[in-house]
Amino acid sequence: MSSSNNPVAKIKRPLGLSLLATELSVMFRRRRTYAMLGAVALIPIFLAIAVRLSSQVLAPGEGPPFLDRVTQNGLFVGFTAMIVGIPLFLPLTIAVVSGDTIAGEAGQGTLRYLLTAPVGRARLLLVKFAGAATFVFAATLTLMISGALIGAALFPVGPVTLLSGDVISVPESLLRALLVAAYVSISLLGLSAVGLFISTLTDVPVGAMAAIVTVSTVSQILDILPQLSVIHPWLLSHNWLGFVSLLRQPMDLSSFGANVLVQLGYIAVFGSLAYSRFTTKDILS
Amino acid sequence: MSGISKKWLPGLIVPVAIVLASITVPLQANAVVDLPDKTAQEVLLMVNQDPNIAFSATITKSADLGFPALNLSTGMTDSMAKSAQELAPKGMEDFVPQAANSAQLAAALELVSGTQNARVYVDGPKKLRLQILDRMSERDFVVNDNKVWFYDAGTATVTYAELPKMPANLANKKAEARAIIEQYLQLASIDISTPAKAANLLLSNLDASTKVSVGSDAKVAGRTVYQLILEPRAAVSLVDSITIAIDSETGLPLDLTVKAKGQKAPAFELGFTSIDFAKPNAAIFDYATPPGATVTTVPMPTQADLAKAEAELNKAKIEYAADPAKMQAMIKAQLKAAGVDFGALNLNDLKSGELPYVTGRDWSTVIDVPASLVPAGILDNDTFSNLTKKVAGGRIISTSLFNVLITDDGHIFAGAVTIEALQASASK
Repeated sequence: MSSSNNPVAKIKRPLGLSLLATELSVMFRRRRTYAMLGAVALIPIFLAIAVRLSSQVLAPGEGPPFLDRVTQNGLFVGFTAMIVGIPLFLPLTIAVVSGDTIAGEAGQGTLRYLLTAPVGRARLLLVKFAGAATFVFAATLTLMISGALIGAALFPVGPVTLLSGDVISVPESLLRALLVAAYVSISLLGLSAVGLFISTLTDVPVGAMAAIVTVSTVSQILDILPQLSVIHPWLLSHNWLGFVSLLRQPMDLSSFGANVLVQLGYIAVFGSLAYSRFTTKDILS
Repeated sequence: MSGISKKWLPGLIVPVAIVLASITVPLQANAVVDLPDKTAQEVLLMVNQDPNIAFSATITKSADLGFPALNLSTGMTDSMAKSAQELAPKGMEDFVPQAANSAQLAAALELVSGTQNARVYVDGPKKLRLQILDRMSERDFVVNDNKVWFYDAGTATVTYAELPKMPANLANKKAEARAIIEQYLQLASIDISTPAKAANLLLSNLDASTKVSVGSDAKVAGRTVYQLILEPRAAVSLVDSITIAIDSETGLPLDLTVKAKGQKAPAFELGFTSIDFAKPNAAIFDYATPPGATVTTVPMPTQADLAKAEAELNKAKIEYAADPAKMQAMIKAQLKAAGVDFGALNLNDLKSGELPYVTGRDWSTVIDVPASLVPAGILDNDTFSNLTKKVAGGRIISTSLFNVLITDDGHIFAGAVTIEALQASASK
């Protein structure tokens, strides 16, 4: 319906795959992307080195979850780093990438030229979102892999004790680490969609990034106020730490499902808002 | 202009559709349920009696007792609270939360406040696993035949016990006990020879204090349930109603809800949120101590110990019958050797008002703890004064389900009754 009064729409358009390929190759060639992935990779590295150098033996239950286990089993480094990274570091990198999607092009004055290519605005939006989503997966995987490597380098590696007290083998624990990375990535997709929408509102990428970090922080603050427990299940960040249920035995996938539903809701709402905003926007730069 | 407004349609429709869907989908799950009508007695009779029932389920407990906000942190250990108090500026020590250090206090607070989730696996009477899902941790309670484990992931500790095997002549003993009980029941002319008669007796005894009825059919954890509703008749009771939801198919009680007078949200609810009646995987009950955990083994008497104790008891019984005075002196001497000295204490010498005393019955029961049994100094404690508020005749801890009155002369009155009822029993 959007194209009924647009003669260009009648011409068969390319799928946008080449556009996606360009988008990804531009993103993964930027120094900024590497700097952010590097910063994410440093979280487990700092954590492991601090534990290794410290002479203080942590009592069970002291410090962030699993930190006291790290000295016995290096495979816990990734899990602890994920818990440390979720509240601020990961959302921060997501904010930079998703806030830059449209506002960055607009700010640089390249959005006009991008839209002269025979791809619709909706398709461009999809490509931008796919690019941001790819970065999300890359960031969590980087954190997990860097955690596993530094853990294996500095500490003994062996069967992992789950929260339930059951023990799983090293291969299964690596599988669970991948599942945790997938869970956290999905958790952050909603924020990417919010970021995409905010990015269509402004030509100043830094403003969009700050707004996205604010959204993520406000959501987390609302989530700890018991008076607002009614809205908690609907909050963007409510299930962020829910990956802990993947470290129980038997593995509980129901939180995985709940998380996917909430994130899909955010993607649908803010994706359609971004579409409406972007397709009706006057592109002046 | 029309093109622009059309393009805003998805931005309007999708959010509205998602909000509508998120409201209507849960409502559909609670669609009207209509089961064949049953009386309270019939519902009682269908309660599960099969000990071999097997299921996996998730449980949620939520409590909303309107408990006063406490400056206590269950996440804090004693040493953490102490070092925080030492670090705090002078005069600010009181602002450091006190650790809910005693395990009992922490457990009690946990029970009366907040929401908690758990998973439970049951396979017959001898296999059970309960997992309390803490936010970043877990506590596991596993029973497998005669082996019992308790694992706390927060402290990486295991408490293990091996229960003594049941004596071979248990069946005989059970029959013996049953015969004795039936004798007594006959003497009291109570007939519970059939479940129906027992249910009837229970209901008729309850009737004086409680109105028992069957509520509307409902759904709990996706299963259709009958709701048995108990309503106290006592006007002073704080309890409005207790609802027990019983699965229409298996008879398993699935939910317990306690409502307080004058409060819309349930004061306490414990119920299944999902249940699967398939036999749980046997591996769930095979527990092995995880590496690195501290294990405490609770000593349990062996079967030989039990037999020896029984023989000694029988011997003591015979000797006691032969010469009570001599045996009493011997027991006192043994207790004294063990560091317990009752001296000249004789229960008959106790003045009234020195033991906890119960007044009222059923729902209007009030416990009166005399001042001599109340730990000294509790009234001057800061935590205590934060918890309580001043009323005529003393200070009160008030929640939606129970009240505790500490009178000015140090007595403690407690009960699931109104403040006025407590004050009335205090003034007696």
